[in-house]
Amino acid sequence: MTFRWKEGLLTLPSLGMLVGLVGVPTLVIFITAFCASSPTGGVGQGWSFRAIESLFQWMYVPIIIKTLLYSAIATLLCILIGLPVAYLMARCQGRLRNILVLAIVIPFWTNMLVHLSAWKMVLHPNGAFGKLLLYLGVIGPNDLLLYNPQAVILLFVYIFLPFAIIPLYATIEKFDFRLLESARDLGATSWQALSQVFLPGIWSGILSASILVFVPVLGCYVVPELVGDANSVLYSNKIAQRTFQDRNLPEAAALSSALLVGMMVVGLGYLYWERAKRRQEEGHE
Amino acid sequence: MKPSRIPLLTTIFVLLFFYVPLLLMVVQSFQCRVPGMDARQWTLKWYDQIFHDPRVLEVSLNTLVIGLSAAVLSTILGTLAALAIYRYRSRLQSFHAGLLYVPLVLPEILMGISLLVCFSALGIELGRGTVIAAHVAFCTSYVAIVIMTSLQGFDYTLVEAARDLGATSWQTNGRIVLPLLFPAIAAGALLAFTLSLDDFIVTFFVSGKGCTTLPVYIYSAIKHGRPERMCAISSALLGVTFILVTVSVLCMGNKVVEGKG
Amino acid sequence: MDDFLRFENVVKSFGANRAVDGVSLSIKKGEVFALLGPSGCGKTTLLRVCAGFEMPDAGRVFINGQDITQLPPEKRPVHTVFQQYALFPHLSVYENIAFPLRLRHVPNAEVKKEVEKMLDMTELTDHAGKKTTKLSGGQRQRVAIARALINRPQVLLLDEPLAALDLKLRQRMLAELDWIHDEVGITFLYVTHDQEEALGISDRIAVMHNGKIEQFGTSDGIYENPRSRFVASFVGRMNFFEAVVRQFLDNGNILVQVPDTGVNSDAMFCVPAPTNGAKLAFGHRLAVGEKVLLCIRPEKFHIGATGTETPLSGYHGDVFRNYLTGRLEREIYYGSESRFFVEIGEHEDYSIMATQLIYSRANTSPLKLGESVQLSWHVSDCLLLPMDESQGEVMGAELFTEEGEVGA
Repeated sequence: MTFRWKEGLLTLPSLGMLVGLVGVPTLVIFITAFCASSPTGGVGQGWSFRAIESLFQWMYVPIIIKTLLYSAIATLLCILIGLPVAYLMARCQGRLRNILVLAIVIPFWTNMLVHLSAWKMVLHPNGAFGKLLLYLGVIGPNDLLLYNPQAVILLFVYIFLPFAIIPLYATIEKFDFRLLESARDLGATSWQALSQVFLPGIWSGILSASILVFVPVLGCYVVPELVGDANSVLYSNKIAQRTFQDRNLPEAAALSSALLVGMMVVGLGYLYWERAKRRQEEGHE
Repeated sequence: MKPSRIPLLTTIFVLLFFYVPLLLMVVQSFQCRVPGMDARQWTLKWYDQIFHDPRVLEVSLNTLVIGLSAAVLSTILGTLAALAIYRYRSRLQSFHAGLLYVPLVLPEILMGISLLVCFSALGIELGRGTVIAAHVAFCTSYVAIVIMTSLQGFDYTLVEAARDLGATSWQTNGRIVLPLLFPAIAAGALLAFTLSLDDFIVTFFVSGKGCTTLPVYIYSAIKHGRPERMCAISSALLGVTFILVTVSVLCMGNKVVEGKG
Repeated sequence: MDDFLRFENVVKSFGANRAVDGVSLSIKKGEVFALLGPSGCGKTTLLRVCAGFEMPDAGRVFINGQDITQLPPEKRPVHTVFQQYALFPHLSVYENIAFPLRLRHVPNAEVKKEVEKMLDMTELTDHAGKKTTKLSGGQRQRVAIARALINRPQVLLLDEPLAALDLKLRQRMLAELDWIHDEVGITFLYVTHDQEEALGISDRIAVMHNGKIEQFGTSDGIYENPRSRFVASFVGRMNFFEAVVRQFLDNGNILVQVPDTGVNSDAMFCVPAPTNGAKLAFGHRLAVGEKVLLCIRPEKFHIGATGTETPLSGYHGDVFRNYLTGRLEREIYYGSESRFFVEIGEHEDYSIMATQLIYSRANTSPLKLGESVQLSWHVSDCLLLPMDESQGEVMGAELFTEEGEVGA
């Protein structure tokens, strides 16, 4: 095969950047996990299995379970709340639809820390919401709204709900709603039409919305750090802790590698399942 | 068929959920406690404070410089990447496209730590340069995807038509392809700028001591318990986001309407 | 100038598929030449080879004696009207038409003069400032034509230019294209799958099939004298009968027999002979007993109720008339004409079509479904084609049905 210089010229800038700033660093994480740590922070001289060994501690088990649980709950809530909103957006016309899109896109683009500031304010014991709940007698004067697992999940949902609504809306917008009418016409109840026609029809949107919520939640250590308590320390917090407090880059890299491997296993497993399913479908034809 | 009320009620709930906290924060940023009493009064003093704080101005300027640099660089790289992937269907391009998707699925914390480890292994001092590099690394993917989406709808016969009517390959690029891609390129640039402005996690990992951006500054304001300042800066940033998003949605909205007409 | 635009043995393959398979064609200066064929026959590929979008694997293309095979599209003196028009969406109507001039940096005053002339010719003056997306289909079509003509190309290529329009507009635009051709007088190469369009607009037609030219000639030559079963059924409609040559008559006509035609299975039909010129469809000498295809177009039949006596084919006075009897199975009324499906012979699915123009309400025939009817036609209105070996066994009378039409 001859090298096409035009293609090379067009490809080189971005490919070079991607290799240098995405490909190589990702590989370097794995390598660093086998490095010795330096007492001054950063990476020391020589190789060591210390960082890898440090992964096998009992304390990580509850953290991993909690991380998966929190991410799953946040994802599920985002999909459940996001679906009706996206549905309404897709069914609206003209001006109203544009306004709704804008109303969802603004929080999407608003900085996570702005959201955190706002909720810190609202959930503050002297904040509006706290006072209201106190007045209603729902909470006592010594109950904290902040610094608990519920606040962490609330903030996850708040921050990542637009990430779910936007792909759902994009998929539902393309959905042919005459299919629902046809299903009803053929005798389906509204529930049957929803579960057997609508949801399968937008399955790809639900899937991408789930990924778009689940993955960033995995890496979002700021939320548990700012509104969580000692019980809501998640996996990403451990990475940040190793990096900034312990200044032990190899251990942080080892934790990151484990997360990366876990994600790759899930991703490849999904691709394999998808291919197997497709092959099965072809076999039926 | 009787339409269900659930979508409407959920949407109203979600809009309140989204905007009431933000609104409360903005209101609070214009208030201060009346000395010696349990009451509040309207004031601009927090804004006055932050706008006269040299540190805040420095951080804002820094954020702006990083955002613009990242936007320009990633727009160029992303446009080239999208064109290359659209134009050629080779193994090199499948690899290229695959690598382009990595930043989209990588949790930010992994992106941050991998770059940090890399920079420290190479002995590169953390600062504005490393932050811009990190922002370019993930912004490029978003820019490329916006442009690739637009290229998918691009009617290749327009290129043939231009050539047929006497345009050279360069004239075709300059007079037809770039003008038609311009909305997508502009949207990509705006997206890159906003992403850069917004990013906290990656920035925090690669910024070191010397280079602070607004999100990093707000983070330390939250951590070190300066609620008034936190509210004022957050509200200001919210205002900027609001304007940016509204302008871009209005521009794109008109494009959408024209495309349909 | 018999070969102003000339294709010489052009071959173009996409992978294993030979889209254009050795086409040689000469087109006269100033004529409207149609490339007619079903989709996938290679006609668009041939046009794209001419425009320079595809490089032929072999063969050459000449314009006015100059070899243009290797020239890039922008260097060729040909312009294209694309199927979906390919108007630049970011430019106004005026700028779309001015585009070729802008590329050559023509001074503004001259651009204005030229564009206004074009706008005037295509009746688009009122729309000059509009975005092309705001125009109707017919208006877009006219912008595309004006844009392609403003450089005064030597050849205008039209790739299914009317396919995106509805029926009424298609007919009007066809007349308009004809008028524009009279006005500018340049050579048109017109690609279409619609035989009516091709017959209506062109001086000459080439029918393409599987990458090859099946036949080319004048419009009426193609319609009246198809030289293959494909051309006969693709251009217009045709009834086919499997026939056997029985006797050569003194006046040169041939008597053929069609087996399995039921009541009059021993009936002979008279066909003009190959030596007789006009209806000559193939070169070689026929022999008695040879199998041939007897072809009759539906409109050539005269259809009427069977009288008390069934006339047989033969001389009625001095004139030989062919007769065929069958049972009227179905009538489809189209307003200006009626289509009759007549079952003949013993086989149930053995049906032929006859059409009758309804030129006056007085002539609507009182034919009844299920009753016996009689078809007759003039000797010179049918023709013989060789049995196509590749088609295998031909099933007696076969009807070429268009898509969506009620089959026989």
